[in-house]
Amino acid sequence: MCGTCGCDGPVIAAGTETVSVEQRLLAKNDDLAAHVRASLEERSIVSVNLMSSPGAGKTSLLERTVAALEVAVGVIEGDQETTYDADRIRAAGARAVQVNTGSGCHLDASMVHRALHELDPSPGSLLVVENVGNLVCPALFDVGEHARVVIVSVTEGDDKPVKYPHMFAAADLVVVNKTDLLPYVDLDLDRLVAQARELSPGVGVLPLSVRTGEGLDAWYVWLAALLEKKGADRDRHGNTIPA
Amino acid sequence: MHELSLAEDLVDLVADRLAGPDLIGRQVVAVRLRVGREAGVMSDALAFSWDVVTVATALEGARLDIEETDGDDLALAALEVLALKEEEPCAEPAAVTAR
Repeated sequence: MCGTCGCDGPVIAAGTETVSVEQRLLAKNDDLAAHVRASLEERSIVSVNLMSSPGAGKTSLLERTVAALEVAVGVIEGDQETTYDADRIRAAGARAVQVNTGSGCHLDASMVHRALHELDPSPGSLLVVENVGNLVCPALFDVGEHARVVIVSVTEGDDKPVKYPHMFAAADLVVVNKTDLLPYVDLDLDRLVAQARELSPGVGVLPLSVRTGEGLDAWYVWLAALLEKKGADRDRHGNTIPA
Repeated sequence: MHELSLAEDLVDLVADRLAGPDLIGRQVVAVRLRVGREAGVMSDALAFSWDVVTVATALEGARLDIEETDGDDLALAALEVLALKEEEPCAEPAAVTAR
C-alpha cells in the first residue's frame, strides 16, 4: 500500500530486505506429534505406527493381534479411500476409526490427532496407527508413536531396505510376512536382515506368516514388552490384566 | 507425494511469520529454504508443489529459493520481503486525483 495516499497502486520499492526465520518445516507436525504422544502417555496408552507397502499384511496382522491380545486395542486406519480396513478391524473385535486421505499419501500428526478425538482410546490400551500403504512418504511424519513397525512381505524382494532407506532407518521392528510363500519366491532372508540392520543397527526382524500363524508368538512377545514398558495393561472392559 | 503436504506447511509457516508486527502488510518476494540431501524430500517436487499451493494467494509469484545441503535439514531459512519506505509516493498519482 502506498504510504502517501493509501491507494493500492504500485509503489516505488526501496529494494528488498532479508528476514531470518530459521524454522523447521516439520516443526508444526512434530510439535503436535509430541503433544499426542504426551497425552497418550498420561493415559498409559502405547502407540505403534504400522507401515509397509500396500498389501504386505498390515490389516491382516492387526486382525490376528486384536483377537490374540488381552489388552484392549484401538486402531486408526489410513487409506486414500474406503472404510474396508476399519470395517475389518471392527469385525475382529476392536474399535477403529478410518481416515481417508483422498489424494494424500501418508498420515500426519494432525490427522491422527483428529482421529484420536473420535476414537477416544481407553486408558492402558494399545493404539495402532495403520498408515497408508507406502514405503516412502510416511517415514517423514511423526504421528505421536512410541514405536515404528515396518512390515515387508517375502514377495517384495530382499533388497527392500536399502532401496527405501528412510523407512527402514526409522524402524524399531521389521516384520517379514508371508513366510508360507518362501518355497515359491527367491528371497535371501539373511540378506534382508543384514540390510535392515545396516540402516537400523540391532533392529529386531521377525519372520512370520499371518496366514498360517507361524512366528506370531514372537510378535506378541515384542508387543507385550512394549506394553509393559509403558504400563498399558487394561482389557477391553477396562479391567487391569494381572501381570 | 508428501512434498505437496510440506508445501502447505510452508505456506502456513510463512503466514505465521508475516503475522508478526514487524512484517504485517509486507510483500514476500522470495522464500529461502534449506533442503538436506538426506531429508527425504525432492526439491523439484517441492518447487512444483509450491507453485500449486500458492495460486490465488498473497504468496503467488513469490520465488522459492532452495539451497541443497548435506544432512537431513529441512528448514525455512529466511524471507525476502519488499522494503517499503512509508514516504515513497505511489507510481500512479493520477489514481488519487481521479477520486
